[in-house]
Amino acid sequence: MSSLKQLQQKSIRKKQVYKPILDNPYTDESHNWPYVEEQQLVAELVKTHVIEVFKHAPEALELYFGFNSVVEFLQGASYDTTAFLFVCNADAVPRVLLAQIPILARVSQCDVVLVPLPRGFISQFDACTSQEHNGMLLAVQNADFDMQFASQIHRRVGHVTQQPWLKFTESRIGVLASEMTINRKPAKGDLPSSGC
Amino acid sequence: MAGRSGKKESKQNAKQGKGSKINDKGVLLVPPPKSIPNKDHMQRLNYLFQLSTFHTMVGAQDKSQALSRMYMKNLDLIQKKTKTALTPGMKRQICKECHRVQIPWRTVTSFIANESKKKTTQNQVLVLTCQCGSSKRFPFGRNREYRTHVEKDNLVYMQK
Repeated sequence: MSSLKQLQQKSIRKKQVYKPILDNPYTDESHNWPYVEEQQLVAELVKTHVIEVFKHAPEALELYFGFNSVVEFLQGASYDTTAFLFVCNADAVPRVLLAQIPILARVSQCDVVLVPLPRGFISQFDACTSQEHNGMLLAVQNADFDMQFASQIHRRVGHVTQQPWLKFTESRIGVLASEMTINRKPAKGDLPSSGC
Repeated sequence: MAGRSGKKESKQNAKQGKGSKINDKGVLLVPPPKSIPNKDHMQRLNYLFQLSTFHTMVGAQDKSQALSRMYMKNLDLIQKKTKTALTPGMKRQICKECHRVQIPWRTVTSFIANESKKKTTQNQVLVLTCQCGSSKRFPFGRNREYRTHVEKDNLVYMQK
């Protein structure tokens, strides 16, 4: 007569094991992406002051859509330029592209304000342009740019660690859940499972 | 005989703990460990990685990045010798050929290439070309929501 617990124990085939793994010290979310206060309001501001303006008058703003254009601009930008980089990091944007963005923003010579947008905002980009945008849009703060909008964004977007490589950070060690088969030796009384 | 097997089972139960859970697939679920063996190896690797990144970022005049590459080479050797696992996010930042840290514009250029005739989004590839000439290709077009095994929320951090 065996209990339910004992029957369950007999049915165990695998055991959960944890394998230690070392993570990149610079890929911490809090280091890379700034915290945005009132994200919905910021999204609404971007929609009205950038997306809608671009729809009606594409020449009014200096905008760059897509990874290649953004990288090209940031590479050649001068010291006195300020740019706003809006990224849909909560949407279905490939992680390999997103991993590049915060480092690009830091390494660039110009002043880049990184603005992560809320989930679902990528549809606004889709409606706005037909070209490939990869969930990122760069707006250059030039003479035609709305200064009120720029100050609103500056006020609500937090600052990230500008140069994390100058400060030593503790190792980010994690454990990864995995499974391992349990090799059980057959008991003396047990019948062999196979054989004739 | 029955008494012996009963003792065995009770011993096994004691080993596995009273609160052990078993999921539908017959896997015995265990809580994560409180400590990690050979933590000092990992701390050493982490230090070498940060040292290498620091020398790449600060020493902009040194085009060959000899010191940075030496630290990274050390990291690679120690990692192999001690069989320490690194996350894909960390491994992607190291060039396999010259052991440079992959930092945009300093050591690597990145762009999205599409070599298909119809320029379909499915064939988009992120190409990271290192200063040494070797390149890493990430074909992200087919599955834009692809995540590595570490990014799928099954990594538990022990310490920060």
